[in-house]
Amino acid sequence: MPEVARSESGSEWNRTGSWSTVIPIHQNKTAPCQRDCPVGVDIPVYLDLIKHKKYQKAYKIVKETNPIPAITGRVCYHPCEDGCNRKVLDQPLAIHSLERFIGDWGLENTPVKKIKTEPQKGKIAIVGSGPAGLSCAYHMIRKGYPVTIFEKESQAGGMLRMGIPEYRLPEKILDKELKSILDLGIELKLNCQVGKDVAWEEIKKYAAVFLATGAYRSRKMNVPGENLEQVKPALEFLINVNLGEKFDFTGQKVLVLGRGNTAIDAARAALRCGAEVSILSRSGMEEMIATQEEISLATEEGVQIVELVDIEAFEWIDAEQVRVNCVRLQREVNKSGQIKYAVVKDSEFSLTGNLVLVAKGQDSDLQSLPQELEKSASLVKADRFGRTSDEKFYAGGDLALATKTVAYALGSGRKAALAIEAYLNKMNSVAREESILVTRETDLNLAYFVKAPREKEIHLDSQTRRLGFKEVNAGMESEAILREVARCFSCATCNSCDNCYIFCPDLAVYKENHQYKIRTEYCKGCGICVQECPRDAIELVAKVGEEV
Amino acid sequence: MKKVITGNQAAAHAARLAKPNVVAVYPITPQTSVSEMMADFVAKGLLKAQLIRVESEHSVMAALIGAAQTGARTFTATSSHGLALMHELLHWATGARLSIVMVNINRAMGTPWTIWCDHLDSLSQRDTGWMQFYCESSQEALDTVLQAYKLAEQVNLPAMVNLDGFYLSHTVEPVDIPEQELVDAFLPARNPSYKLDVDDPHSFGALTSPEHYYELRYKAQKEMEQAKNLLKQINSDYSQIFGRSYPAVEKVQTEDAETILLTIATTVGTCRWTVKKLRKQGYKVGLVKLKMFRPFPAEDLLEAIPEGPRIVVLDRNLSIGMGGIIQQELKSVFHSAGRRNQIFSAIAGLGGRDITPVQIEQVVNQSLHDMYTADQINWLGGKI
Amino acid sequence: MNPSELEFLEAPFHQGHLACAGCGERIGHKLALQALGSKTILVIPACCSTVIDGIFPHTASKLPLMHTAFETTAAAASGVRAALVSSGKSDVTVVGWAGDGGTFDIGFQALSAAAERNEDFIYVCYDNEAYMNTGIQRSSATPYGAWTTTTPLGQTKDLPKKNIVEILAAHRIPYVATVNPAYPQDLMAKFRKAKRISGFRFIHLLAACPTGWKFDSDLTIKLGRLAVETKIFPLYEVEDGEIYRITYRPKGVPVQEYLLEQGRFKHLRPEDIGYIQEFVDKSWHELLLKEKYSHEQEVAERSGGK
Repeated sequence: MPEVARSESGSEWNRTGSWSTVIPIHQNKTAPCQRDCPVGVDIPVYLDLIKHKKYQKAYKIVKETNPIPAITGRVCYHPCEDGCNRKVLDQPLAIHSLERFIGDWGLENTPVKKIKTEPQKGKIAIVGSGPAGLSCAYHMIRKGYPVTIFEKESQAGGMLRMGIPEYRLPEKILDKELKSILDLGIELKLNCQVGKDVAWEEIKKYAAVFLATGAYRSRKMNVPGENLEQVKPALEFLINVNLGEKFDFTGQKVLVLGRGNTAIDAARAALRCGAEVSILSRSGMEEMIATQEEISLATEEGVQIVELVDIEAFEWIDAEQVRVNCVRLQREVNKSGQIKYAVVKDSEFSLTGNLVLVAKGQDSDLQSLPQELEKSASLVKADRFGRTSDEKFYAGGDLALATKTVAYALGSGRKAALAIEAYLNKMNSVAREESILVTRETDLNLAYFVKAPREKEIHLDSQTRRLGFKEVNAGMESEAILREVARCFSCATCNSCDNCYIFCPDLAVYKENHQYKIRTEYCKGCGICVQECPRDAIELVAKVGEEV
Repeated sequence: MKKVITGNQAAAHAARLAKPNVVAVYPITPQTSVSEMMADFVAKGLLKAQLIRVESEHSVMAALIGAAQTGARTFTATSSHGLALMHELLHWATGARLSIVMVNINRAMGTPWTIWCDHLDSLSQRDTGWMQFYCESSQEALDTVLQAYKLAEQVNLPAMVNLDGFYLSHTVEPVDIPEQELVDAFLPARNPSYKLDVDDPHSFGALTSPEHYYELRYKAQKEMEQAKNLLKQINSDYSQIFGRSYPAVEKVQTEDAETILLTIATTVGTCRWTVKKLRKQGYKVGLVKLKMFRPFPAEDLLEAIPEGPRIVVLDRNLSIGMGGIIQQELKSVFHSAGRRNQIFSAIAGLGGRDITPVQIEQVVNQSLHDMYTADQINWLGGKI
Repeated sequence: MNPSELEFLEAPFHQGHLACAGCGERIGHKLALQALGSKTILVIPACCSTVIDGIFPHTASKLPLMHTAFETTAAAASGVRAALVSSGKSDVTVVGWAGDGGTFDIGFQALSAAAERNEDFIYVCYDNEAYMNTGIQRSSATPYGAWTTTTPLGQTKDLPKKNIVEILAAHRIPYVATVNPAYPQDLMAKFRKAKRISGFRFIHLLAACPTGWKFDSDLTIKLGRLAVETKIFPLYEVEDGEIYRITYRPKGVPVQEYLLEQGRFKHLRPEDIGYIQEFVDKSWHELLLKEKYSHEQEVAERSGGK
């Protein structure tokens, strides 16, 4: 013992962790954008990489789930943005612009390496080269399985090529994205309809089959006069336009019936062919299925949108004209807050048009599929992983899903790939992915964020747009991209801001290999790290048993 | 070099020669000129020291503790209420085992205000663990300060050198002021093993539980007991270099005495003269000078005083409710040793009232003729 | 930078110290030492930090630390500095690290004297606004309206907090500043600045105290932030007692948001809160004027004088 009260050693022997009944854990949860993305893209992670200009790594993250970001960045209805927590501070993040940016960058800067597949794992057959089929093919080949896509048409792409016009998705981009997927080593057989050009028996020889033949049958309205020749399915018109057919509607009036993106696309295409276009929508403007952006782009170009109109009948006027008998609807909100539409008494009116395009949705052609597969309404019956009544067959995209969007299709292809892998490896369950814990805006600490407005994309002016099919949206310019990505909160995802490390009074938070760890033997459980984490990436959990 | 100087000047010169690194000053009568001289030495470059002109004596001691803890040799002077104000920190310095040396010019405690000599100020600090020395002359004061540094730095305990207010502090006498080189040979630089050092960080004086406190106090006691022996060696060294030495206990004609006077400080001088006179008159009187009060030199006292004679202790202090402090300490030592000497207590000179040869003769007489008993207080010179 | 210095900056004191969970003093101490580096000697009087350091023979400190009596911080630190100067060790930083009790009250005399002598060390008062170490008794740093054990309900503190920063500024010392652990960059910048200045430097650090202010331990930083955002605890510095500089301009938040989150203020009535708001607004306004005036003086001096 020393002569005076002079310290001999440090205080580390005192394991103050014993004072606490809770410990913090750094745990990435799910951001609402991630939760809402049907593809499953790890949005906060890739946005953070863009923030740090690590474009290669960002692109890699996106491509882990989404094979076609340059396309989705242009055409997806971005449900991620609706869930974005940033709206509590100012406006949601323009995630689609950032996805488009990284998708375009990746196409320019990332060479594709052919994958060496392992045929002994099993060969995979994909029927249909739309987004669902492409997605499944992409994920399967990345797992090392040889893949063959059977495509009925002379070009691949499905609805991407057929249904989405040039001014929204330039063919050049579509072809580049397709090439980047196919160059991985996927075999593509064009002009090859299964059941006609190749037998189902041949397909059944594959280890697993993913069906993604889409939905191209325009739904009937079941209204008198529907079969008049001036009344055509909008999708048919769009496909013809997309395949290169030229139309001249100068001086003509085109009426488009519908409330989704097909209606908008058909309307804007017709406009570019010289027509005066009106969309008649059953829903109110706010409830239209089409995105608000598409609606405003359309109206800027001169498309008239008439809301709350129901069609009673079509009447022949002459070879060039047709009368559309309409009735007005009104919104009614029922007890559960749902919006319903009721006919307004004595509100009948008529409109005249030269051409009526009907966009009331599409259904699949189930007849051409193996009969033994169970169907449900107009879909092949499949669970959320695309498993059908036959363990070898999987289905996805518009063929299996009621929600017919590119994003859902991509997601279904990826999930089916997980299920196929589980099946081929005789695993009982498919890998569970994201955390079920979602970060709400109340879980964030907004003190660490500064208001900043959402950046704008550059659009061609509306006059120029009408004249042709040039891409309307040029995306965001590069400085705006960096400003916009900086607005991302990085919800639920640690981005090494150091707050937990800076504010710990007990030196219990430390960094090891770019990860934060907790010295549980010293942590007193004060919870400051959890409170000061701007993005809900840490949580206090109760200690179990002898954990000290 | 011999100079005719006051006790304060002698103390200041001693401090200068000891080469303290840090001096803290705060004035109080009758010590003030010591502080002023220290400031003057520093200003004239005669002393290379950091001078801290603090705002109270409490801060004086706090500053010296900080400095000593960082390795410096330190010095200050105070009196009476200044010393009392430092009280908690006197304890602190001892517990921290810091060899601070302080000159205390003895002055009585108020209320009422007084500036004159009395020993209660230093004696009432006897429990703080500081070594205490009392000086009979200004020469002794100078020599004691230098010896105190050496002793304090050997045992790592603080030391207080006391001089009577006005009797020593302000009166002049010839004093031999040694040469710096000789002092340097006697007293090397302070180099404590425990100090604040960024290259060897420790915490000092932390909260200490009952587990350890007891032994720390025990160690201090043991070191102070050692001081008794060490002083003998230091005195001998000092004598070799400077030709002067002062035992902790000095006996004057005690071998055949029937009555032995025992006292401290300048009263010793008056007693020397009076003993000579009484001896001429045939009284068998002796004198014991107590120089070192802490540690209390029990063995030396028992050796200096034979079994038989009565002892008359002159206390220039009063611990109200008990009586004289020195007589109390003496009685406890003698009782523990089984001694039967009668010990008489006289209280004299409180608040600076002169202790005269007449009073001393009077108390010798009174004790001789059983005019009072050993358990009574003789209020010597009091107008009672 | 040598590896042991880097190690020190990672963890400027040991784990296992005895602070309450969520202690604001520890966060402030960590950030301050990270700014000052390991060539520092600490002088700590009786206060929470004394006990936090732990019990002999152990210490949580990695620096040389002198425990000193309650009222003596400034005097003891002066002595430490004097000893360092006399031994030629000019590159060691001396820091007195004292609570509000030992600074505003019992240690005030020694503080004022050391400031007047322009002693060369940094005096940091970590202010948890009461004598917390002895169990939450009021000090002259306790704000108006607060509950403490010696200002219990019915007799809560009806006097304003002593403005220690202005008192020190009036001593015309080279540097006074306020800091808050919820603003780590500002805090560390000020400590680094203080380190480079010679003479007496005083830093007033607001240390939110879950135990004494009665709030959940995870809100220490949040309340620290609110103290600044409500302008109750402005972040500013004063050089030479003359030049005022506000280092952070909050947008302003009603004092209520800060006050009612703490148990020690829960009893306040709307009129009390109104009174506090008025006082805070007035003080902020005065500070702005001081800043403006000192800026004008500075500009005038530069253009007129030289």
